[in-house]
Amino acid sequence: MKATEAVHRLPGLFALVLGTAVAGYAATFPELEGGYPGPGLFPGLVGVGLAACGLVLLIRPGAPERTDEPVVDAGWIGRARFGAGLLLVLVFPWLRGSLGFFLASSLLALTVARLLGARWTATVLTSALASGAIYLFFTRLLGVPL
Amino acid sequence: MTLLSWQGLLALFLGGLYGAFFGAIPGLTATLAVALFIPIAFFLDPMIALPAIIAISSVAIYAGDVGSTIARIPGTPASAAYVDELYTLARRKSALFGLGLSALGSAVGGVIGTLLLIFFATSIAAVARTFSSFEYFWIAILGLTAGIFASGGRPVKGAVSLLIGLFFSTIGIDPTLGFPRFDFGDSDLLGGLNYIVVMIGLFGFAEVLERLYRPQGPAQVERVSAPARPVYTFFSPPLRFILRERWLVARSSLLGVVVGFLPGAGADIGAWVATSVQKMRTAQDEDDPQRIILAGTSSNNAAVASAWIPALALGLPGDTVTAIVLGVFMMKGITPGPLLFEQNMPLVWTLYATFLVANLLLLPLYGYLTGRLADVVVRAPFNLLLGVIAVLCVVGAFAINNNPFDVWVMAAMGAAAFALRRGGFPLAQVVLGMVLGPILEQNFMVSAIKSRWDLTSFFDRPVALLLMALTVLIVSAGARLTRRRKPE
Repeated sequence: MKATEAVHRLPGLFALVLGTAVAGYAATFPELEGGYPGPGLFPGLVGVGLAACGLVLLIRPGAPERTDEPVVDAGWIGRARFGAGLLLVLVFPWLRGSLGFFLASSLLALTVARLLGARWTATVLTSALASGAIYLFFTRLLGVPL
Repeated sequence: MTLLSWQGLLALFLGGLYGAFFGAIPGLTATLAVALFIPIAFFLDPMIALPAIIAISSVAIYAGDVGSTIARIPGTPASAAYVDELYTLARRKSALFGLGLSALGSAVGGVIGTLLLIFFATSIAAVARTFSSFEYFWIAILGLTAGIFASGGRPVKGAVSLLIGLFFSTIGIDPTLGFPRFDFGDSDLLGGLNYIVVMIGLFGFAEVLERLYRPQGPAQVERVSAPARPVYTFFSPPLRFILRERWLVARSSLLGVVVGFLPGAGADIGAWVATSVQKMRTAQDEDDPQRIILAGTSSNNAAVASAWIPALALGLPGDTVTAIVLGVFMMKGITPGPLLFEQNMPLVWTLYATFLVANLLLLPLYGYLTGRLADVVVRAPFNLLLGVIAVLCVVGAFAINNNPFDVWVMAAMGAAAFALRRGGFPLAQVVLGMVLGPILEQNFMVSAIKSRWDLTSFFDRPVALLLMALTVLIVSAGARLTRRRKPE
């Protein structure tokens, strides 16, 4: 099997593994009185459906569709940018706790824009203005603490 | 005090403005806008408070499309059905044109919904009363089936996305025994996943991650120039297109009304069925995305009016907004139901008139204003815009429950969407699965338990059989369409 063919079969494998895991875990849920299906029935059926679709995709992966994002490897720079953006959002709640919302959100907007090549001045201005506006809108107008 | 007094008109216009803000900001919804308005409504005359609520919800539902246009974040599960078409159209043609199509399509759909509300409220409500858990089960199946074929790609991939959404909907307490499922001992997971948070991650944050990974990706289309005649761009071409596609608008609005009055996810199912039908009737030309937007948006706003049918005629909420409205009715000492039409006709006519004013005046007005704003925003440098979108995604997810867990869920969904897109799995179907999952499961379990697990009872009732036949029709039409596409 060529490497590209194996890549086309990955979505099927993903659905098959996820479906099997969901159905397997759902089988551990209790039944209703009298042996009738209980909380495990619906997720169990969902799991079986996922596994079945996965099997179909595994056997007949088909050609890439027009709707598919082309599988392009953006190299280590792309992966690093992706990882940095994701990591920053994951640690945002802690950043917000230690720096406060305004600084944390400005840092997030600034990092994303800079990673995408925006100019320093425009980035700093936009990040600060947008974060300030969002902060004021939510806290003052809506009464939502940020 | 009447709707035509200066206080009434002021309430309408301020309500519309407030709804436009809430609808356009990711994480904020029409329901939240109406819920936050309740303390103010308490002090207002019902003739002012109720029209203001109609203005808020009508404009907020439309304004959900502003998020789709600017940041690819749909405001409602219904607008997820056509988010990709609207986002791409705004960048290829103009945000003003895209939102013109959305606002004016919403207005026409809303007017059709209102006319049906005026003339057939009691008869439609009588039909709604005959619906039991069996019919609701089949209507959810109909919505899911439409979702599979609405992806435009391979149905099996649409099915995987729907099943993933259905799986997400099972996380948390189950509706039958109250048994915790897939929570792994975590109290945050016990509460389940919020579909708004998932939507922000799947669409908005996924776009940020996509661009970070590949700044020069294919979706990075050329920046459109500002339209020379904004008023013309917003009103004229969309109106001409709506007139040309009048049967599409009529059909989609009717679908919105017929399905929209069903409590739970009526409006969402209506919009999904309407866009799915439109995708099956594809003319394979450059106007296809515009037709899909029109089908979804007209059906969506027609359903806003029809959700009031069971509320007014039976005192049953059609959606979360009308559930709050019923609370306002009680607060003001008004009893909704058949007696309302005998004892309080001035109020009923005020509500009808408000729907017409909201759709004919407020939607075009706020549609144009939000369109101008969106047009400026989408022409801003994309890298700066993505930084702000990242912040909006985090704030939108966090503000719903003030819980950092939602930020993590949103981030995880963004990463999952990145992977799903590479596998060719459509994303909007995940949201549809999450919205319809609880309705499907609850009504299946209730029906099965009350029929003592005699599954033949699902095929006994005439309306249930009709819905099943419609589902089979969608499956066969979808399968035919898939076969037709294959030789390409």
